Amino acid sequence: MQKEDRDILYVALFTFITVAIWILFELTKTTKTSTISPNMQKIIKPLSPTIDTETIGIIESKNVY
Amino acid sequence: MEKAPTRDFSQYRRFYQQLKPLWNKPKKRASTAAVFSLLATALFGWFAIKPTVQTILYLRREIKDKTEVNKQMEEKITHLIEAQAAYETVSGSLPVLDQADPSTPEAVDVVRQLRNLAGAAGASISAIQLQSVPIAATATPSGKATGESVAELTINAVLSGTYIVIRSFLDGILSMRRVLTMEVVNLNHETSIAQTMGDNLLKITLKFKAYYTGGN
Repeated sequence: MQKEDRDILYVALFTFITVAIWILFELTKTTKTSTISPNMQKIIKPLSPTIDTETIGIIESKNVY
Repeated sequence: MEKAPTRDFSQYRRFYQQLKPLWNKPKKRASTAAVFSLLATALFGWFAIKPTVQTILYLRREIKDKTEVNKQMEEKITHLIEAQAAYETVSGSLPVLDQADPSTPEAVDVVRQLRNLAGAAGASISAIQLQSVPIAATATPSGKATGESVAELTINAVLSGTYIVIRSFLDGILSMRRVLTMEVVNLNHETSIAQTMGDNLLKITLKFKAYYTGGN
């Protein structure tokens, strides 16, 4: 195989590898990126339904002057 | 005009004739096939395979995210129903919370409470100083925000009385419903008054901080 042929083969090979890695990164990014909007993330934030009645009791036991 | 295509054709013919011997060499043919295969795969991979696979992965991710959102929304609805029931239970006690941590500075009220407490304890309170705060309920709080929505109001006062009286006043501050913190307590012995009254009078300079939610 002549040197020019080998060079062209290397260029093609590296082009292929670059494109393959690029595709892989793009696909990984697509998989990892969340599709939930920030607004929706705020809406679905968990809410604690318990009310601290003990603290309310302590406050009730205090005086107003 | 008519001769130009003939000349081009002869040029291409010569070109093909030059290529033909090259194509007959197995090594050349193999390397050319490999180069074109790699380039074609890269080209199709970028313009055809990548968008397709990307769409598939995006849709799969979207389904997963939507399922998760649905689950969390259902949990939140359940929690909201539970919170509503809990709120109904304690709704009678909510004015108490407003007294402890009002939404407006309620500066006059806190000063009145301090004066009443001092009176109840038998102490003499004087030189009450307040930082400037809006009195109107709708005004924007000018107090320094210490958290997401908590603002504070600084109060300075001077208190005179015996040790027992001052202790009673300080105990009263701790048992006061309005949330107050004592930042500075400066204790002095009032010698001139003590000599005339024949009692150990103390004079304390106090710096309080009262808190309010700031209406945010």
